Amino acid sequence: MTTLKYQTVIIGGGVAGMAAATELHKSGSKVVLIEGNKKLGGQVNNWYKVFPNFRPASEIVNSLSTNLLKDKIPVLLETSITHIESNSGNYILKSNQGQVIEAETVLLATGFNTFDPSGKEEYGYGIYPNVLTSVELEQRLKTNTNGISPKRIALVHCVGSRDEKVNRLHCSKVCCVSAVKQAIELKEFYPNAEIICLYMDLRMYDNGFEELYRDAQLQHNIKFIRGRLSECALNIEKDLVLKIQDTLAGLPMKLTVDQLILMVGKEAHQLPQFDESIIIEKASHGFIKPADSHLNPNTTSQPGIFCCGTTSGPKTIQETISDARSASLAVCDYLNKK
Amino acid sequence: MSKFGFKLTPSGTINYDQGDFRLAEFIDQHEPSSRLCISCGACSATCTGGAFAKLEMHKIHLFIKRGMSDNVKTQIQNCMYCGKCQLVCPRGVNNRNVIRLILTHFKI
Amino acid sequence: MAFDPLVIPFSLGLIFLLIVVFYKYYTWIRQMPKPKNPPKGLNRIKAYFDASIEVIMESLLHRKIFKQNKLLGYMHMSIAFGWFMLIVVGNLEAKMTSTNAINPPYFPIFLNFFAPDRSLTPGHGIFSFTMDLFLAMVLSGLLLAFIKRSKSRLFGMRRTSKMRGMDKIALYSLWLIFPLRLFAESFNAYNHNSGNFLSANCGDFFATFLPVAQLEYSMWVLYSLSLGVFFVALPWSRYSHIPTEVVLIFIRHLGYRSCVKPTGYNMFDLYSCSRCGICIDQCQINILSETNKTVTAHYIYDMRVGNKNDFGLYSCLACGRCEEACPVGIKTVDLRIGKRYSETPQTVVKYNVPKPLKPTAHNVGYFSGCMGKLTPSVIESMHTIFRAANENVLHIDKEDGICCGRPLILSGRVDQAAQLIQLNKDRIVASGIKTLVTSCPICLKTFKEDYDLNIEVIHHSEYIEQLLETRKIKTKFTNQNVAYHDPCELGRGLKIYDAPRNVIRNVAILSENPNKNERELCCGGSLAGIALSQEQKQTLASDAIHQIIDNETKALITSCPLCKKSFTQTSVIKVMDIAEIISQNLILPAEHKVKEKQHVQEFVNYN
Repeated sequence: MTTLKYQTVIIGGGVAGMAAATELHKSGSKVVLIEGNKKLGGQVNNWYKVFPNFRPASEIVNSLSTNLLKDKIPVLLETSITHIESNSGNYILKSNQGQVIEAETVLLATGFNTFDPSGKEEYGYGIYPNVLTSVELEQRLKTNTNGISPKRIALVHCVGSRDEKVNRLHCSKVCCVSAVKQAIELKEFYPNAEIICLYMDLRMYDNGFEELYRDAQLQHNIKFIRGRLSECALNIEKDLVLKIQDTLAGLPMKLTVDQLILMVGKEAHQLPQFDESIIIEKASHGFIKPADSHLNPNTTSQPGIFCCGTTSGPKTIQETISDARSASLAVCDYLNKK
Repeated sequence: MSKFGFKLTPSGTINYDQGDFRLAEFIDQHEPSSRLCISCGACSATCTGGAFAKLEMHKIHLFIKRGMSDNVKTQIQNCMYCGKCQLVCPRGVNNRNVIRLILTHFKI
Repeated sequence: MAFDPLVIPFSLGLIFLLIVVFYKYYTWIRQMPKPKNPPKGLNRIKAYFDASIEVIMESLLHRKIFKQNKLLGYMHMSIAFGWFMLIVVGNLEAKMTSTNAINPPYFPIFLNFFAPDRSLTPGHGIFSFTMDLFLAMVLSGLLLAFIKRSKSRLFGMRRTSKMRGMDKIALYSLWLIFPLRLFAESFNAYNHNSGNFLSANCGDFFATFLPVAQLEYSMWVLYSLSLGVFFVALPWSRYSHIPTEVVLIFIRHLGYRSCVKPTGYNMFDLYSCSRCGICIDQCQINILSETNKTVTAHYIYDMRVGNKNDFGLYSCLACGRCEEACPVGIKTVDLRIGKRYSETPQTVVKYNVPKPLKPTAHNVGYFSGCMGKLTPSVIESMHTIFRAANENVLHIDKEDGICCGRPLILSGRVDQAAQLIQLNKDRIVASGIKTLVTSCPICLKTFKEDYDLNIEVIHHSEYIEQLLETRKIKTKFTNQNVAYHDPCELGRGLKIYDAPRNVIRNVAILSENPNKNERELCCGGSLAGIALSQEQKQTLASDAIHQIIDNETKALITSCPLCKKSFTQTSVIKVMDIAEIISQNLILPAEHKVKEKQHVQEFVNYN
């Protein structure tokens, strides 16, 4: 079998991988992009519109993949790397398709998974059909299949984030603003329904987020209740009865809703299997720990292996693309010095 | 006084400077997880005892930390010790031990 | 009457011991409430007889310890039984030797001193042989005890108890008693040309290099002294178990039981502990700390001497593994809860009682428990099963669920629990149901033991077993490999081991783990472990999971909502309740399928 030779292998064809591939190609590096699925785009494919401006998510994916096509950057679809070992300064990667790839550097753009809330049983996911995740809601919004005229929908923040009970202490960063975005979309879908966000903290930290929150309140009349959902049961009419504490009013609250959306958090995607000699340090939340989070955010503990996008922690799409571009600089720098 | 429509109650404001922090220190020392409470209220919402009497765990944490420990004396005895507050707590606060410590502190 | 000043230490020690012990037992017995069902008439005689047999089998022969480990059993047996026989045979021989009607108690102990030449005593040869034999037996036991201090693994114990305070004095004096007796007897044998295989040969040997004629008297004095010191130390040491255990066995046979509100019985339990250390390896808190202050053998010491040990008191899971292993049958869980009770001032607050249930025509009531609210899949699965079996069931705590009271009992607030018990009992009785099914073993235990309900109370695993046996529901078999975890309160607490297993075998391949049944591990989430942190509980849960499952296991089945919650937090495989695995594998007749479809459809279309 012939060994394919590249300077850089990018693992993961999401927005991070695609952005990095284009940048690296521009700087003259011989690069290949590897994606496990049938199509490029990664998690962003699961989104209908993105915050804060309701731009269709497909636009972003299409724009990035068109660049790849234009530059004729090699892409291996439906390929996942099963094993990586180091060989005199280079890396040998083996894929499930049987390919062997030798590369000087590896850029990990494996991204994230969303939290599976079935372990958080008290929220009723997988038990009551009207409890769904934010990802499932995006699909329904996209295909316009979210049932008929619910009277009230609640969105629960921090499901699988900031929760010691599911061993996930980190904040997933995007769920707060995603919830506000989805609340507005739901309100536009069902103008007569009441849409309620149940939050612990609202982290509207980036440009346009706070404005979106304001809009949600003023233009769309989204209700915000500060309290963490503690349990969800059914009444006789098979509506969902939520028990929460309205911590600002200082009173316990019973709330009947037709649909419950769980804003599932981000958790690290599984990395390819590395040879024992390769050590990739991880942070406590399971994502890759950068060598220096301020000055070298894309360098891992293993020289020649880099990370970008949500591989090193939750990020927005915008941050992911910037991070991917910064990673390509770090990779070029490494290749030049070699 | 109440017939005038208002009362002069010392509990109307939090007098942090003159708070009674003995209980706060006692709990802080023996159950440091109580520091982690962010008042999300999940404990109070799920509370079995709270459905039949006044008991809001997250407020108890607050009162203690604000030096208003007298406010929790009667509430705390309504606890049924079922442990649900702990199972829903996203921060791993050991509420049942906090309640035990408060009872020990007040000798009730 | 024979007398010599050397008997004074022994005699004073013995008198002191008897006064202390009798005073203590008298006060404890007075603190015991009358038993609920004491044996009467012939049964009472049988109780005394059974108790005597148990005393011989357990206090002397240590049958239960033999079962656990032969060497450990021999060690305990040789000292207890050997010593007992020395006293019995010694007394017999003294009786044969002396012409007096009553001998002073010290006479048989120092028989060789007072009557060195007994060649005329009938059966002299046999007596002398048996006395040497039992002395040799005791000495072999002591040697093993000495070895056990450093090599406990030989005795099947990873850890052994440490000697503390008064125990040390008692232990050292105990260790000295029999070697000193050997010296005294063998010197005596040499000086008077008597003795048997042990004393005579040892005497000859010692005489080769020791002035045995001059040393004999001082050996008797030292022997008497060591006995005296041991007797004085005994009531305050672990060796108080020697007399107390015997009394405990008798009162147990007479129908007295331990109670979470401490009574005299609990005192007998407390002082019956020999701190043999068999419970130590059973305690799961071992994995949390090097110096386990929670384990019963250590905690009982703290309880006896009044040491403050809050972590030991409030970190105990009350899982009952130590109680199950205890060769004396001490109710370790009740002891600990009793201590919590006595440390907690009992106040009773009033709740706004929910409106009472109206009498219904339902035969079966379902109580899902507080924890059930956090495991809705258990409740939903039960409802699916109820529908499939065509059972019209009243969900008692669907809304307004009151806690069963057991958590309050476990925390020591027993009087407050009594109020909850009354409230719940009123609701259950008012509903008019004939069978109460509960998903929560914690509730089940307290319903059965503290409620005095005159209706059938069963766990949902038993209920499902009944439905399967009467063919009210049918299931399909899947080839998946599952493991079952016995919840503490259901297994050790109520001895329900078979029903869940029979149920699971209908739908999956059940692989048993080495810790099953009464040796099962706690999930760590026990409501008794008040002082344990979230992290510590997760450590316990993950350790338990790894001991229960293997690489083949596809799902971990349990039958307690709390165990399910604790395990889900750390498990690498799926954790399911027994009701879930059954409801997933139900074979439904055609008309039911339509019903189930409707049931699901009602969700999706918002009316």
